[in-house]
Amino acid sequence: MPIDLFGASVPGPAHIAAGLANQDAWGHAVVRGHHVVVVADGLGSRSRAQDGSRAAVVAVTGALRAWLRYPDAPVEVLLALVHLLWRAELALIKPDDAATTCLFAAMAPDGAGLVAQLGDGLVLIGDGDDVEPLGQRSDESFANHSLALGVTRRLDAWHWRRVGPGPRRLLLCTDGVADDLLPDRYPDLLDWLEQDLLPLPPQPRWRALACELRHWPTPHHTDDKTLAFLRSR
Amino acid sequence: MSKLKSFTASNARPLPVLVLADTSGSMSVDGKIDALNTALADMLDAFSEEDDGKAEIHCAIITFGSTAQLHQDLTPASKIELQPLGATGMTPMGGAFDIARTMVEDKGKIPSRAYTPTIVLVSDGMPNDAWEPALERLLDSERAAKAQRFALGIGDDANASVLQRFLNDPGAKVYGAQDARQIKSFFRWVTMSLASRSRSANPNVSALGVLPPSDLDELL
Repeated sequence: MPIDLFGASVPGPAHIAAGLANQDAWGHAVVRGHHVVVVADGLGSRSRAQDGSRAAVVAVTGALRAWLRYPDAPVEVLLALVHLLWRAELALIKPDDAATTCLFAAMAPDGAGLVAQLGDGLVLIGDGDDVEPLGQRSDESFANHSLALGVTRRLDAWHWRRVGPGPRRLLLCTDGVADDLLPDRYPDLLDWLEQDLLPLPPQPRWRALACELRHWPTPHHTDDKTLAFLRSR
Repeated sequence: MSKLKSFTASNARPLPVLVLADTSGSMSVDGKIDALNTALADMLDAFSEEDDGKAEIHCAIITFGSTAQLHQDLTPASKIELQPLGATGMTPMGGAFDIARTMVEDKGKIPSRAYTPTIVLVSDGMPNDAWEPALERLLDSERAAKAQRFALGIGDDANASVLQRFLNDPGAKVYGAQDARQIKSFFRWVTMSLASRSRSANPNVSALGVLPPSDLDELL
């Protein structure tokens, strides 16, 4: 069962105006036969946020490389490895200075796999017509109260879910995207990504998605924006 | 045209500001209510001009005088035409707490994508209704408890301990104003603090570097 994936990340207007780099990061890799996508958002108030988000991409990939060797290993072991490897990747950088959210998906060729999320942002799981977010923000909450690597080491702060084999669509995005999305349009968003963007060749597809993210329609938007999409069929 | 437009909110993330204003009869003395009206108008004007922020500042004004009532519903500051406050009656502060709590808990008025609200309490006297259970309900409300809070006591009769309980933080200061000029100073400070928040990377974090004006007194 083929796996298709693509994504893009663009700096937000606030960072462009300040001459700062994108503090989001995303990456994808094939690890022990699983297609892996990681999306991370370095917390805006931290001095080394950019390093933190990039370290999260490396840490998740490394953690999965070790964890996938043991099919029966609990997910908590994987999450603990992510924390450890993230700290190691930071080396001398203080974790609090590099705090970052961390969202990832690992999907085997048959569509089975794992999705996980620590902190703000959104992971959407689309099984047929059913589309639901992983780990909803509490209704009692407000925007930008993020848990993150470097903020907590509690494994129960993560949301995660194992998904079975079969056709599936996954979306992972940072809060610069997630906080402005209309929940009742989630299915249509997945349809647009799958039907309008996915069929494009890689370079035009990246350009089209990056252009959409740069020209974000919600007024007063300032955040960096990152979105990744996976599909098993 | 952006394809994403049909999947995204068309309005900016709101930063709600609720002003709980004492409009009891004693506020009509020494020009206090006039100063409060001027200060509120200036604050709304300043918020209206904040168009480079990350958030859109929305304001509501809840008054407590002859009754506790919603004087101005939560609305983008730029769209508010402020009706001047009058001053008459007693000090039903508890009623104002209940209105504020109901508003903050209403996810239709303040959605989850909003930034943490700010509640500003201004009073020149002692509440005379069942304010304590109403304050407990406000502070026990999960959403309202997260709100940033400011408090100003006006004149010598302001009850500092009530205002301090509203702040619910031993480290937070209750400010005092002895005259109309200090009322305006307090609101200028609140305005600067919120404008700075709306422009910051994370508008949920209290603004740094906005010091309270030196001509304000600390009531405690």
